[in-house]
Amino acid sequence: MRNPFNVTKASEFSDEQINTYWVSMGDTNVLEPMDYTPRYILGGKGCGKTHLLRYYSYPLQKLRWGSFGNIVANDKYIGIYSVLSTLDASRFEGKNVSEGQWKALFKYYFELYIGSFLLKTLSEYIESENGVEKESCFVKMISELFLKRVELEKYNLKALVEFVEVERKNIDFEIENVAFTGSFNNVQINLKAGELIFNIPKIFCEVYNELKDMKFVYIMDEYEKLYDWQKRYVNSLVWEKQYPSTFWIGARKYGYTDMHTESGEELKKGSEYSPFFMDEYFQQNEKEFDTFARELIRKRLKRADPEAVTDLEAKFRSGKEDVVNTIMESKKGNYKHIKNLITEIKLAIKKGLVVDREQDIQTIVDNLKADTEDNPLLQKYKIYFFYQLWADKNHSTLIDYSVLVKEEFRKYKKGEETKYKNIVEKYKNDLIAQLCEENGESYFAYSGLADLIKLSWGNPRVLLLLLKKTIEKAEVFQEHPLDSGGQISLKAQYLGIKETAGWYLDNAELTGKRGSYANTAIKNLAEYFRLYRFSDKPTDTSVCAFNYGTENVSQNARDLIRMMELHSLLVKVDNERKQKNSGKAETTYQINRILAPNWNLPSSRRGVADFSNTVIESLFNFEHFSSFDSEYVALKNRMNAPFVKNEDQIQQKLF
Amino acid sequence: MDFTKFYKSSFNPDEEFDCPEYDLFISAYDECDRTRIPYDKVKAKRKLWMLFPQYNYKGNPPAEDYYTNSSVRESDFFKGFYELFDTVKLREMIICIDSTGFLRPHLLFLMAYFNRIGLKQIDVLYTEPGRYSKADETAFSINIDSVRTVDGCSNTPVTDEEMNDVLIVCSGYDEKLFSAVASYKSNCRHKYHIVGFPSLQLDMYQESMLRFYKIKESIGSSERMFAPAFDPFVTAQTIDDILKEIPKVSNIYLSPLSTKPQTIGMMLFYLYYKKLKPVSILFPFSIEYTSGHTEGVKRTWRYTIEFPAQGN
Repeated sequence: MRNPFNVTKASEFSDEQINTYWVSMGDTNVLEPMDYTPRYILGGKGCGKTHLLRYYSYPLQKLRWGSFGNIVANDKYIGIYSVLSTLDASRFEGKNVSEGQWKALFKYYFELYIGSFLLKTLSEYIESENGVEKESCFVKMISELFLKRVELEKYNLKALVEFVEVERKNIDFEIENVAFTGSFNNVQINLKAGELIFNIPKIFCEVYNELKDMKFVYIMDEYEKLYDWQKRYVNSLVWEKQYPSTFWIGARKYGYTDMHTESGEELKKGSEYSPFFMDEYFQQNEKEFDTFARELIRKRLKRADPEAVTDLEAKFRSGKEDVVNTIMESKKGNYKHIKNLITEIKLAIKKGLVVDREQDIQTIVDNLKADTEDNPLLQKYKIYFFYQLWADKNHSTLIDYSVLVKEEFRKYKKGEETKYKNIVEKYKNDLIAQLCEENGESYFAYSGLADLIKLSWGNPRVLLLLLKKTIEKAEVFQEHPLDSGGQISLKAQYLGIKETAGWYLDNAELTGKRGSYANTAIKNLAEYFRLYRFSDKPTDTSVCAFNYGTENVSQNARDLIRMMELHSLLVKVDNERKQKNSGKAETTYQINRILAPNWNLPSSRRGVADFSNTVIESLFNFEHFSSFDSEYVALKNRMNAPFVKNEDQIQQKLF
Repeated sequence: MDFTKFYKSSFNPDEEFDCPEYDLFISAYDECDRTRIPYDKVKAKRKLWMLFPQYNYKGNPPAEDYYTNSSVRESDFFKGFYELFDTVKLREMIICIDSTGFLRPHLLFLMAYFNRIGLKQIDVLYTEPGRYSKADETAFSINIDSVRTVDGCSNTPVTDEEMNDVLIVCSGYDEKLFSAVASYKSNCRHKYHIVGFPSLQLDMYQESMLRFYKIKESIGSSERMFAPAFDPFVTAQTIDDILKEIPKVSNIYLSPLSTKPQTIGMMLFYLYYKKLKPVSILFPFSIEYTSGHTEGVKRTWRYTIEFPAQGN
């Protein structure tokens, strides 16, 4: 059986495959053809926009209903699908031609381009038995829309389409030519804006009265590939929409930048258009995404081989709970965290930061290991408590702290109320992650189908890629993942996840200098979060989000954070947290879950780091990137033994 | 059309150049031996350096005759170039371009211009590098700013009900360029990448494979084809062969991201088929480029490009 998750992009699907693999978004009717409000379907790469938009397009309607008549009878609309990137927006600029000329030419070209799609779609009815009688009447009425009279040899649709195509070709020729000549030779704008787009549907419904209630939906994908002034033109059409037409526009979030029309009016959300953020919807409705994801998987498996795997979940080995035993067996008490602890105490003694003596070290270690029966996680809990006491610096000795840690742990084991309850509850995941990293057992970090669905966080393409990659890895390891009795090991899952996470980071479609700033920022942010996960004494648990006050943040930093949000590197978390110090409601962002495996960070958010303005600037303001290192070192020193603010403090203690 | 019948030859750049005397020799100034050696050895009535603003030259301009313009866009860059020559006389000249240091969009535009004014043929030189200095970590462009069609190399897009667009990329060392183009044309149903094989150096093929692996998933399913990295004519023929296999092609997008010879091959295909097929050339543009990634010189190729007649 071939990997059923090999194809991860809707653009590679045929119309028939789009239909077969279609999964609805539960009870949510994202696109309601009977509602005339134009819709902007927005989302990050791979959120399923193209699949959704193509599903509602005429070729798919035809697959479902067979004939034009049946489509109209059942759906009551036709979806005219076009991909705006095909226009090659960049052709309409520069080359010594004025902006005004380009704008006029683009509008005319746009009319011809969309008009041509529409006429070709309608030809199926007009040239049919039902429509041919009124064909010449329809064609005559359309030809009268042109400013300069259109003389056709025969007033049939074929001739009209040919005319429109020739007009379009002439413009293409002029555009190519102007690159060499710097001026247009023979361009005549022969239509007013919106003339074909709005009037062809009107005339069609008028001439073919039997279809008078039919609706026309212009489905325009890849709106983000247009220039801003071109987007404003499309917005103008949306604003001026005329019965029986409306628009559904698909765009990447980063392309949804300007909702103004050409005349400067701003489209009013709700009444004049309605945006729908696909990935945000799923991010906020995780249960629905889980159902959606499982149905998506079921359809892929069924299509690949109806008799083969039905329960993919059972194939995934899950093993977070096994990691402690695995480490116990492999390390036999010889743990890195004990070695690290000894090194840190020795260093603190040597630098005069504590009053303990070298000969006390063994006693300290024995106290911290006591009653743990060599269980590395229990030792980690104790050591964490020890570091807490050390960091608090209440002028006691390390040996005294270790005694307190030992005594409290005994009480904890007897079931008495102690600080350990809180430590276990809050820090278990981080401490397991530390054990995994220290002992080279990273495979345990993420496992199981449920983890994969969570990691993909509302993005079907990420989910498909995670599945594709984990199955590929399992095949390499000869685990026969899709055969009866086969499985997907933790190693295969981990490697598949890591590769997908790497792909997401490397292919975030960041361009220009701001793109490279975003790259730097996400990497620095991850390093910052790693301190919270892998330090001796993290101040918060499972940190993969940050909170900050927006008031005094520079424009540079705001812009970069916004850009990273639009490119789905950061996700604005929908909660109403308050900053610990100021008490003000602040903005909270989480690193996209699928990025977390790149740095072995937690994917589920528990703690949120409160960032000061200085930290925000060092992370997101390119002019202050150079201060990141000092901010990083300061935090590192605060979270790691011997818990000093900086090297100067060490020197002061010494002398 | 059989592109493999075009003429090419190669020679050791350290020895005598196997070239006729030209009326005009054009080369890109990039302060490297790979361009300096041919510039000094080629015999021509007039030699002209092109200084591209994207290279951000640090040193003094060359002592020899040069042309430059501060505009980075290819059609704007050449605006003053036309004034240097009488078009009628230019059409009759024996011209040679050394493509080695050229920016690819500028090379394409210049070829399109020569074809447009009615030149029948030109010679194009290319000198192979000894090796890329940082192997598979070599980065040519600094930041990709936008993907667009190369000026003078666009066409009329088809508006069919079921779009069956094809993207053919000559993929090279800079994998991010490929990723950017594939993302720009993410709606293409069919994708092909032509890998330079045999490559210019033994290890270059493996190195470019390593780089391709990093972006595989962004591109989606793309079929791998091969054409010698040094052969424009086999490259053009390979494109022709690919398209013969796809029924009902809508739009064809070519993107030359590999060697200059393969770039020339794509251009040749475009020039011969632009009137017959909806073919355009796409390129991921950067504001800045770096030069001098190579060490040593290997051999110099001379390709004789016969342009199609303007009526084609």
